[in-house]
Amino acid sequence: MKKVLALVLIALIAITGVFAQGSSESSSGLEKVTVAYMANYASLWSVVGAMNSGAFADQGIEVQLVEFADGPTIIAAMESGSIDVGYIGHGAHKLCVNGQADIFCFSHVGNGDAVIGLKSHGVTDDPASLKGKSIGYASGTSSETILRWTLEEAGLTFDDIVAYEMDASAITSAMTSGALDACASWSPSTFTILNNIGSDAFIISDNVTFSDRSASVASWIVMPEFAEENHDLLVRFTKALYAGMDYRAEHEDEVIGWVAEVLGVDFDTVYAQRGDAQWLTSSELIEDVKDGTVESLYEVQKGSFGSEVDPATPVSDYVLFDVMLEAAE
Amino acid sequence: MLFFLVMLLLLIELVFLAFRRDRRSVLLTFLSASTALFITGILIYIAKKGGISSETSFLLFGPDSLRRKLQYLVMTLGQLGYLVALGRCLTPFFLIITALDFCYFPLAIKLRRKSWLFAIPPLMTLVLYIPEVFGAFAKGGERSLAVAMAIPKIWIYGYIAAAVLILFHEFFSIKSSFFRRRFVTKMLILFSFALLFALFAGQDPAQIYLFYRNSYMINLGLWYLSAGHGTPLYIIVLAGSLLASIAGCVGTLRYFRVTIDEESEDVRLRRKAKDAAVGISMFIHGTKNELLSSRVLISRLERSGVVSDDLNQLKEINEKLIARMEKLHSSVRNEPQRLKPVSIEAVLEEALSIARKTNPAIIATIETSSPGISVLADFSHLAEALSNIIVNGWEASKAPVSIEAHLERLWVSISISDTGPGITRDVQSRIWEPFYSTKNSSSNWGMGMYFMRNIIRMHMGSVRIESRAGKGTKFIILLPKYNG
Repeated sequence: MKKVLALVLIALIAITGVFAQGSSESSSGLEKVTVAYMANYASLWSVVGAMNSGAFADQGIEVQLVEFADGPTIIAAMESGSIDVGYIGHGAHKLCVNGQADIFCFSHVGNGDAVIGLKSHGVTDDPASLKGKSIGYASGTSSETILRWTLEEAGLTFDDIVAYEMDASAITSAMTSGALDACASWSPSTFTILNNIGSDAFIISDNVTFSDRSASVASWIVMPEFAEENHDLLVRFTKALYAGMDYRAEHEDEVIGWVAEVLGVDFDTVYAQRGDAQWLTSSELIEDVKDGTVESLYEVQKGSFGSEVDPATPVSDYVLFDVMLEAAE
Repeated sequence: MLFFLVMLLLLIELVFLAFRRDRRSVLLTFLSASTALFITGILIYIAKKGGISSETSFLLFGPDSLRRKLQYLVMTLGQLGYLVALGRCLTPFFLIITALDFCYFPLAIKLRRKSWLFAIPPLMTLVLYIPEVFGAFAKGGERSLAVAMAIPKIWIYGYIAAAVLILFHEFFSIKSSFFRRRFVTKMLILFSFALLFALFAGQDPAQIYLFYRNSYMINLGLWYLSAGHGTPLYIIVLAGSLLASIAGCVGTLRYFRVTIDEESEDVRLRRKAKDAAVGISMFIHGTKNELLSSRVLISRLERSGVVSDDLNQLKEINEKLIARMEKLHSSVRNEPQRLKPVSIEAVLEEALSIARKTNPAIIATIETSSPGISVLADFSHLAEALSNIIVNGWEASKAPVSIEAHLERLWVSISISDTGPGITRDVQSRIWEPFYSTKNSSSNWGMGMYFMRNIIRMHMGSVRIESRAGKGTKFIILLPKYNG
């Protein structure tokens, strides 16, 4: 017995040693960067394009992808040091405005958030039909924001509905099983719900509905200290992202296939998400940076956060335009 | 893997509970159930939240399909948060209660009587974590939230530390190596649960209720993503917990096997003795009648004036045989035991005195760790039973026999040691059988050890043999301590 226990212990210590060999430099001699993403096309299109087309390797970078459910968790993980670079959607940008993270690359303006209703449950195009309905949402995210705005359209508040605080995955399952009358979620959960339910499910409102109130910008972020200490790395990382953006423009189906492989889903599921945003090329993005379009988008976005952020904070305090421009050289 | 380990531990405890329906098994089952509840809740949370590497995911969930299943589980954040709160509050409570149940030092016994007091902090915390109550509290801002999170953390870590200290204190207060070995297996089982629980003990349910709250996550952090919570830590904890569980379970199974072996040996010996009893009774009856007739004839010869040394010798032999027949008879019949509190010192003195009647040359020392140790016993039967070991020890070594008695947890432990050649395993396996003897002597019929074991079992005690070739033999007799 003692011998068996000793052998098991030795084996486990050996395994621990193997797993514990974490290093910022990979075995291939490339600089290893841990990248946080969310399980959707919008999060992966440029980074996976850059990975598989060899753009990161060209910049001496090896990317290790780690999946997260949401932006705030990604920022929390970056704070703990387990993640170097992360992708965030609209909601988590308020943390950047508040100084918790720096944006080093603009990704896109999205249209992934939506409020979905079920006709068979008495929900109609009119937001007023949501009164008294059971609605699932993820509090503290863009899901809560879009639901609140939709309710406001009909003069309703959260007190007028039966609100269920859930995570995005649970919302998808609950909606698909018919446990909810409506929900507010984001892509790709919204596509999954619409695909699974079919014609009974429909979009009541999405980001386009409220384009006058907010810009649903998605970005690449790092911790401010990381940005200070790794300026060169960030520039090279951004260069690779640009290459990934351009590769997608010419090989969209191929990139969709790569993203589907990373997510472990079929091609069609990812293909359905290609309309979630207007995907830019590097030259379009650089032009938008240079002419101030990107800055104004961040301004509009900042305004949509209301009292949750200090409106006086200049966009240039948390968006590293210099990295975006230097990477374009 | 973590998920399966926790479920396996729960299954093992349920199996043990099915076999032994005692308070201790119930406590261990509650402990494993609350740990399983806690870990499952945490794993659902991690599955939904993400942020772990594929290696860590494998260590926590095993196949990816399980992680996906848990990720899409339909639960409100309130339900998931309260599930974790239940596991987080109940596990340290059952841990400390079970640790106290395993221990017998005076403070542990005192605390055990007031164990309901340990339920107060968990209950208060569970009230605080009712989703509606917590929601109202969280509105007070991050400072009040930080306080609400810190207080449970204090008592939770306090309970774990206290449980570990209690177990160590008990371990170091046990003198007998036999009891220590048995206690270590129990300690390891509890350590295994403590280790698994400690891995995520800092995971406050608030982190689940406020699943996506930015400010909360940034200011108060996320436990499972905090520094150190990576693949190496999970491997170490899983390995440590797995090893402790294996050692604990093997030890417990071994203990069960010994208990079952002892019980089956009891049955076997009883059956053997029952089979022999009819023949023995007839033999004793017939022989005794003949011996009594001889006694009458010897009396007649004495009365008729015959005086001779031969007649005196014949009379002596006849009387000895009658006495041996009486002794043999008493060893096979179930005589009622008249139990009353007796001093263990007095019993041992009487046992030595009886042994010296058989062999006046016996030299033995008696030592008791503290005066006034009492057991509930039939004084003469117990002394008679112990005298058999003293005689055997002396005959095996012809050197002083050491007799020691001390208190050990719930028991009075009596050890009778000799420095003889030791008893082989083969002989040990048959030593308790009736009419089994390795001595070629006319005065030994192989009933002494059988009789001794029977008497000890009637006193709710047990006997163990520790013997090493050339180093001697130690008989350890455990009798329930009398606390009257």
